[in-house]
Amino acid sequence: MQKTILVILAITSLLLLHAQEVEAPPQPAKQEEQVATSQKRLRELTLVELDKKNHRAREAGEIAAKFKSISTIQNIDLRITEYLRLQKRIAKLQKEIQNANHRQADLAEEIRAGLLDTKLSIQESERLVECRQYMDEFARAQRLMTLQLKKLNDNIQGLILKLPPPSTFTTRSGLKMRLVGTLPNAFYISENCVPDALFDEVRTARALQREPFISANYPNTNATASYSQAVAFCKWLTSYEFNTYVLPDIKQLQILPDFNALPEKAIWSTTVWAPDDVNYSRAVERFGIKFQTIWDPQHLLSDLEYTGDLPDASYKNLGFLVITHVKTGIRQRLEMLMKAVNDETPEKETEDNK
Amino acid sequence: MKTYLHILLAGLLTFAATQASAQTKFKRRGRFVEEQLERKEETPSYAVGLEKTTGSLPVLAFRKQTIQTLHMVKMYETIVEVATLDDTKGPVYRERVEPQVVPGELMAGERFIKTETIDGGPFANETFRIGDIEITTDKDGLIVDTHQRLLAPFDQIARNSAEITITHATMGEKKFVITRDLLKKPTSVQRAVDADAPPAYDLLESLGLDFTQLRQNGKDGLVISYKVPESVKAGKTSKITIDIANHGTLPIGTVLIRAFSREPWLNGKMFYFGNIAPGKKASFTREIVIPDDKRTEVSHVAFAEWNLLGNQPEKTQTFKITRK
Repeated sequence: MQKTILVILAITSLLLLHAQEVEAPPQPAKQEEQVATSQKRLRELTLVELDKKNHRAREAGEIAAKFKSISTIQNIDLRITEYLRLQKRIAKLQKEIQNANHRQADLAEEIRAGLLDTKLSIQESERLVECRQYMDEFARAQRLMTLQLKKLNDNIQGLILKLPPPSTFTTRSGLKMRLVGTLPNAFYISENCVPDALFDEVRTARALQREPFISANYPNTNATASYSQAVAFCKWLTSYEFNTYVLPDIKQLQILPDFNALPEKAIWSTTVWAPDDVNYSRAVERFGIKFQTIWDPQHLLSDLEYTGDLPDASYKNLGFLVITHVKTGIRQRLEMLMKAVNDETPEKETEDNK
Repeated sequence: MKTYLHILLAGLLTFAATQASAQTKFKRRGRFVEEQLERKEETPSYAVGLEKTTGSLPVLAFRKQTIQTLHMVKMYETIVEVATLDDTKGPVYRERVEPQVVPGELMAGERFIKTETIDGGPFANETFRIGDIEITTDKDGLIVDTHQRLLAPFDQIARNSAEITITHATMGEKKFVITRDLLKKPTSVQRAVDADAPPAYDLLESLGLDFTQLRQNGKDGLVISYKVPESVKAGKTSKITIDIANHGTLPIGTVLIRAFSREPWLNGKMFYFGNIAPGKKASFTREIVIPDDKRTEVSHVAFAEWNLLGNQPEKTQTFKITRK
């Protein structure tokens, strides 16, 4: 008897448990509630998108207004900084548009799926259609804004490049470069002869196949280098600076006095020495020897302002300058300011944008 | 008697007149007989040229000469045309003119001068001038160009000849031409020498160097070593010696080395070696005169080689010379 009762109780428990696991089929009223929630969600999301779109429009307006005001800044570095900050804001805005496009694409898909529900009421259907129209409008506006921002960004880039190059800059290796000449033929030339401390360090480092130790300041004593050594130094400098540095030719050296940049030493040039001397020209042709032109405005080596010497010759009063294209200075300034802008904290940006 | 004497006198006068008429009218020059010396003049002189030697120092050789000026005249037979009776043509009197040599009598013709030079041997211990430099011959009549002044004009590569003028206090000046033939053609194609030009001597030949163009030229094997002073004293002289050796299997032709420098006292110095047979060596030395210029303490000089195959830039070597 007891066994029977226990069996009956066990079976009853099992039945009761099974009954809890099986859900009761949803009632029609609950389904409607879920649909309504979904539509509400879609409408809310649409409103959120609208809000963000308006925010972006305001941001775009502020960017445009800021752009107009930058041209009045006199200080070139400050102007470039502001342009770069503006480009940063543009990039951020473009990213936001991109994200909005993705979200809205998903949302549009949901709306499209929602509209396929045959049990939608007219009112619900109209609301979904309205959401879809918003999505279309958002898409158009975002496309337009994308184009406008790209155009503005290109415009800013062009304006940055048109700005006058800096009058001086310091290379990564510590050489101070100054701008000489008139655009478009201007170029940068080292203010002083390449110092012997740097020259010797580079020569030693290359021999030992290690990186040279670069100092912030070098004593102003010129490197006693031959032409061949000066050319090798320029090759190293080019690879180190990621910009081309070469020795000047005579025409480039000849403009230095016009810019109060007369060197204190005699200077190597890339111009091959070619005096009007039949004997010399026949000899160099026959024997395959070349002399390089030295510019000696202070007459330290001889009584002549221009003289030729062997590429392997070196004298303590003979040094070399390095030159680089004007784009190097422009690029170097841009990189420096870009790094500063990129390192700025958002608070700093906000502070500066007020 | 008187009449007889008159007739005799008339006959004699007629005969004399006839003879005289025959002489002035019919004497003419006949065949050439001989040249006769009318008078002789002797002028002391000298000859100068390059002596064949070896090494890097040219040698001038002076020889005494006597210039004999012979005033000569050509002598010819004297021919007289004598009129004789030609009775071969019948009783009518006819004259026949016959040339006859006047024995023992010669007639003078053209006068001319002959110059003969008599060599008098080496001109020892005599002083001459080249430009403003006084030079004195040794006991063998030689002057060794220890300062290589004769090489200096040819340090200009474009120059192939130089006229040298030597002056003596009493015997006047002599000119001769020194040539420097860097690419001598074989003998068969030598150009004819102008007889009126001053005598010419080739500098490289006189130094015993052979710059004849070779048909086959070696490319490798030339070893060059330099003796360049590391330091020199301002205002003094020094020497640069270049030694070469051909370790190849073919001759290396017309080897030439030139110094290149910004300094005029170094630049352009030529070092001559010529054709170097396999296994042979050669050496050439140049004197350098260091100026008293205190501006530059260091000078650089590069030596570049050229041979028949052209320039050899890979063999160029540069040296530094410090002036004290």
